[in-house]
Amino acid sequence: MKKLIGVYDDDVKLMEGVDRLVENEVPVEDVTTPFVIEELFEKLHIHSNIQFLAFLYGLFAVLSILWGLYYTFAVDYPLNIGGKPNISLTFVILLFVGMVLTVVLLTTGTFFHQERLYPWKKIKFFYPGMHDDKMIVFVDKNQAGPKVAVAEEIFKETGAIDIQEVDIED
Amino acid sequence: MYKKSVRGELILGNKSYGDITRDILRHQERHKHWYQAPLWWWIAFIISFILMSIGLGYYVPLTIAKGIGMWGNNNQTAWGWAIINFVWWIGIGHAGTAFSIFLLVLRQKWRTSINRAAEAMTIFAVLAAGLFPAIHVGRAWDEMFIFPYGPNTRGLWVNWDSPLLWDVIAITTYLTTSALFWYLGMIPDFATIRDRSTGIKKKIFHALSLGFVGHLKSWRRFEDAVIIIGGLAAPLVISVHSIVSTDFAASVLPGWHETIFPPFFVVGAIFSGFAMVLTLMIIIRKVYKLEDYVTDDHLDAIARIIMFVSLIMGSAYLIEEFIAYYSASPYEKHVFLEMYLKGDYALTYWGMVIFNAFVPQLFWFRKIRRNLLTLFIISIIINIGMWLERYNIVIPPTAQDFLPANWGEYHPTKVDIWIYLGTLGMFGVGVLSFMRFLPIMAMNELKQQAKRQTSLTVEMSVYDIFEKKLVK
Repeated sequence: MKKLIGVYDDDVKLMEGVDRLVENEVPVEDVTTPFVIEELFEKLHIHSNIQFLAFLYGLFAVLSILWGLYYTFAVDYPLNIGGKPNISLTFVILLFVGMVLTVVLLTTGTFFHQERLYPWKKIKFFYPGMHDDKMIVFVDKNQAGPKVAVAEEIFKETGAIDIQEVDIED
Repeated sequence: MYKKSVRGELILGNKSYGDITRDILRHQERHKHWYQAPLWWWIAFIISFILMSIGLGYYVPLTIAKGIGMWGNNNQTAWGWAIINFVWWIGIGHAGTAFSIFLLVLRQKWRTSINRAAEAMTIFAVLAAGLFPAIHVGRAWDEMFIFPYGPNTRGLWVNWDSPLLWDVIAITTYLTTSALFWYLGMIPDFATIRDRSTGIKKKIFHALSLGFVGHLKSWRRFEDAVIIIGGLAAPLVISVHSIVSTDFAASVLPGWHETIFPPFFVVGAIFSGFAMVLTLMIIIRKVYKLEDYVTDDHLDAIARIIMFVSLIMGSAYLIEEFIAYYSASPYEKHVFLEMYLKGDYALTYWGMVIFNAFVPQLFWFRKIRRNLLTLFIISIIINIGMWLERYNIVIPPTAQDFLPANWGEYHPTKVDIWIYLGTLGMFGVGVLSFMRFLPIMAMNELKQQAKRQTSLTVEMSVYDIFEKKLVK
């Protein structure tokens, strides 16, 4: 896949470049940055479903643990202490701690799965300093069509330190 | 609005993003081979390693082989040094999460320079803590019985009502959550190191970074995952140490049977943990010359928190004494008004009060908060004071309880002492390895901070102009 990249070393210039690209309706495929730039999420409408999934994991964990405690307390080995069934309120503590453990493990697993992260994963594209101080804007040439020239012009005008055409395998 | 005039700069020296990477990785990249390190590092590492080898390599197996009779525990005081050290280490372990999460939730930007080291400290402290209950059970090979594997294999489920079981589950959860939070936060920094290194180091960091690339979508998911895990870890800190406190409070022993214990333990944990963070950050700042990142303002902020928490500790000590007096229970009065104030344990009690409630009040003086030596000494004093507090909680109430005929004395044996020294060695080995091989500060967060600082400076100048106009 052929892409045009504009490399910035200043986030103010990067934001200006991205603003101009959006204004000119140039489809921005991606931006890589060495740290989180939250403004870009809003500008390029980047969302994630991890928080929603974490809520579902929490719900699943609470219901499973409640069922497990009920099963052990009331079904499998019911104890009768002083004429009363032994179902104590201490389950609240186990419910909370168990829920945290489940959500933390599943959320981390989800992040790794969605990002396809695993040891020694091949890096498809590398630019020196991309996790240090360089911010790179990617424009897909097929997707952008005639707007590629506009993108190149915007990169130049907004102070990109390097503009290149790169070929990245899918 | 961020007021530089009030708060000071969080990162000094007008650093670029590249400067931040170079400064944080300078101590790693200076050495060509993994075994090359400064002399102080090798001396500290060898001492820690020797302590760890003797304490954990010899005396722990000895305890497992011969039993708890090797310790000073006796019929009267069944919980000795092992539980003192367990609670002490767990307390220290809480500061990492307290720093990372509470300060994140409270929007305290100064956490960014310190959170990584504090989280590392958490991991090693919790590992040290977990060792004690594991060997205290005596028959370590029967530990699987604590886990509720089933269905109903032994004719009976584990006792869900037991605080000791909650402890196992809570500490396992805490260790897992802290470790994942720490590792997750380091992934982008591992990617930075991967890109800058060669040979075997590149291969190791390539594996550790899991192929992370800072795509927009990746950062968005990363942020969400970190917030979720962090958000859950915050109440977990409170929950874990409350559970540790119920190990004591759920009993009927005078000196243990107190409703104040859960908040008292949580606050105490944060207190000792912050003191340990202070100790570590002073060392890291000094030896790695990171004054631009761990500024006087950072240390000042930690000192202020410690001073405030010390007041809560002092109040808790007073409340304990008052409630013992007000209860009119002869047993309570014996523990708090006799044994602690003027009896056999007066030395450790007053040591605790002076070290934890009075000495930190010196932080009211700005000069003391801004002097590295006084900060360092006071942080060590607090850690000793907090160890004494755990000693006072664990030993005296059991040594002299309801029946004077049962009263006894507790003295640790050399096995107790060596196992404690072994955990100190393990903590040292862990922290020193972290300092030598891993990014000691969260570079990606510092860069975000530097960006925010720049934009806030711009905002501030607009704000100042606006303010001045209003004044005119």
